[in-house]
Amino acid sequence: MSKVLGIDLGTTFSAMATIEGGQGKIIENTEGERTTASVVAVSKSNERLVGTLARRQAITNPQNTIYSVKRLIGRRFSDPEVQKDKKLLSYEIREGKNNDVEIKMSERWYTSQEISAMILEKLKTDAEAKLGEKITDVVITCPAYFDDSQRKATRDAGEIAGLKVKRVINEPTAAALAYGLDKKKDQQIVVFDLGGGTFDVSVLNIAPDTIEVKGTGGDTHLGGDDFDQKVMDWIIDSFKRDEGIDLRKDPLALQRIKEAAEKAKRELSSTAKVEINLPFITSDASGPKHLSYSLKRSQLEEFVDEYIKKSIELTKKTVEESGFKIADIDEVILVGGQTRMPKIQEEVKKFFGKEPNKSINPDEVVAIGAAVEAGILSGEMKDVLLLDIAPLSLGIETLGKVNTILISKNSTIPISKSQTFSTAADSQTSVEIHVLQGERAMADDCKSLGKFILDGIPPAPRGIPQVEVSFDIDADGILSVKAQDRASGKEQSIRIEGSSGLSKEEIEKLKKEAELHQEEDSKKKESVELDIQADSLIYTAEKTIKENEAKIPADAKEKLESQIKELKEAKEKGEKEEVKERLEQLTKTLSEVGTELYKQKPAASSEKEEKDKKEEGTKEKKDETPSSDAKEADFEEK
Amino acid sequence: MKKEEKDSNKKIKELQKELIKALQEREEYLKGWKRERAQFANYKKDEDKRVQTVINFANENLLKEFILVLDSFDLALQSLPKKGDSKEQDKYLEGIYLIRSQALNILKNAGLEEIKTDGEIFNPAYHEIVGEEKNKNVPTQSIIKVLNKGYILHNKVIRPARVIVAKNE
Repeated sequence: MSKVLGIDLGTTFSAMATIEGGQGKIIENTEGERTTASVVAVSKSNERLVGTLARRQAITNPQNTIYSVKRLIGRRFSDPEVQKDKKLLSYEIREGKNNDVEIKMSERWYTSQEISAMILEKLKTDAEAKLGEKITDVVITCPAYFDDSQRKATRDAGEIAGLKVKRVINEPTAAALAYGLDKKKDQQIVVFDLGGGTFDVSVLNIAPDTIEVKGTGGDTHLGGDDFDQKVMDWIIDSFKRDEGIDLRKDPLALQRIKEAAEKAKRELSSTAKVEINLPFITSDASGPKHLSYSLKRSQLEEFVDEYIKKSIELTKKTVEESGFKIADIDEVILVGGQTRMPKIQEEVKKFFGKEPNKSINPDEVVAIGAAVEAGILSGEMKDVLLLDIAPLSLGIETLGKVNTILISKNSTIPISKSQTFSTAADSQTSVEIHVLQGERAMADDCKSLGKFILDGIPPAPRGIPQVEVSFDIDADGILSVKAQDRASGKEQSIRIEGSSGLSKEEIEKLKKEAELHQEEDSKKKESVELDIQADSLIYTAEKTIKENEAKIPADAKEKLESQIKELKEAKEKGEKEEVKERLEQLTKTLSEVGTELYKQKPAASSEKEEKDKKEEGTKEKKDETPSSDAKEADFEEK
Repeated sequence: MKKEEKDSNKKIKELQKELIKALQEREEYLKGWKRERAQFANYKKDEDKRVQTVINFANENLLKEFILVLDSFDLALQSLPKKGDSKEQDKYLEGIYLIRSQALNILKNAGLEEIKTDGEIFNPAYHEIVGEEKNKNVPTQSIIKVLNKGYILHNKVIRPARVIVAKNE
């Protein structure tokens, strides 16, 4: 069964993806790029170039470098959009036999389908090289506003490229599939797609069997490139003001400024201020000139405010025209690289009153969605095989009220994990397993899912018993926790249903809380762990003294006892640094005493084996419960 | 009797249908499970290759940024006199050239190579045209000026050389 490829055939960039392990995965082209420029050219040496290679010779060969063919495909030549674009394109177009658009490239006339086919052909060849197998079937995406003629032309392009086009699906639909929102029946979704050159907004309704497009809107000439232009203009105007030189007249300086502007814009999505630094940008009679400015995020937001406002206005209009109110919209998806800008995310969130979906790379989400559709059509994405994840971490409470995680959040289920724990006190014959859900370091800050007790553990010094705790989540999300004592074979277990019964908002809230408290939590945990270490060392030291009373020299005993006292006092005071110091001191002394003892007892074996174990906390020693056979206890979630 | 027989036969037929369906499903699931298991095993084998790629290109982003510094350095060197007014100035110039050399060596050790441009004809795989100049002395599309050097990292072009080419006509 050959793989079906999902292709996002974009105006300026295209991307392709396939299903790997049940998930969409982007395939890189032969240049190592995750997106391929939608540009085709015939170079001056008569070589046909597609993608980045075509772009690299565009400046000196504009009439034979064909870009943005998506603006023409399937349209009539007389279409007002075509007539408008004709004025902006650097290559020649004319009316074809069927009133469609023909494009001139290196003295030959091609249909827009043929040009698009060249791009698809490169994607096909590169995918085959990367995957090591032939690709025949594809799913291609197109804008939701494409009419039948445009969709047919897209399909024809695929066929010209030697591909069987299984389906042409809408870009917003693909985005919804990528996020798995097709499962949210009877919900309304808005897809906000702000790319490099175009802005598209769509309203979708998730019907029982299909995804319906209820409305579309946007601006075919609004995108990230316009944002770059604003930054460029500001740089050039600032330089003119300061140095009296207009860099617009210098194509090489302009090139550097364009790149620096785009870089600055991108960096301002993750930092509040950037330096735009272009040494030796030009020169005049007085010598070389350097360009150096700082740009703040707030300034960038001011420059592009009109564009952002326009995109929100168009969104409002589209939602209204679809017959819905803002409150009717259940989910929002962000598509297109420009949506990485924090201000845009903020405005969209403010407008809809909810957090938009943006976790999938906005440049790749449509291709990934196309791959999901491709997977569904090829049978790789059977509903029965769709797997869920554990949205929050699961663990148990251990000594010091610490949350010890066994299953990390976002683990794919079904999953099983186990870990061995031990007792905290000598002769402890039972342990309490307190099952927790959450990311926080301390048990009290997590959600308690249930508790049970395993008793009948043979009495032994602390840290000796081995209790294996296993967590198992089945494909339906039901959690089973089992505790088994290796020595006696006794086991106890608990079954928790609805362990992920939290809403999406609640889960997000808990995750955010954990992030906020991360530093504080880790300090708390460190403190607790230090105390546990101190307790353990004190116990070991006191035990060593007790068991070797006769053999330890008096001065060594005194030194140990005084250091134990100092450590206890430091622990009481709660001075972390002092506790660390005393710990080191006592460890060193204990080690020296131990060495001496070994010298005296040539064949002595160590009292305790060093095992990599954590210790379990319990409420109190249980000495009255009779031993019981292992039984399943069905627990309702607390 | 007859009615009971009919009912039994009907029940048998239904069960037979269910059985066939169940057997088909079982076959399908087993096939799918084996395929998935195999895919996972193959994925693990490919993992080694992926890790090596990550190691090779771990520094790619950092190197791409650092290339901008080299560009500025080149511009600075271009605007400095080749020879100074005095032996002392020459020493300073020599020092600056040595610093550039030092930086370039570090990058070479990281796997970076300069793209060849001397005497080359434009090749979009390695070069990017930023301008044209009339020049009848060399074949058309020959590289006559290099504005920014290009670099390859482990056989991947991470920045094409930015060049000006000759135009014969």
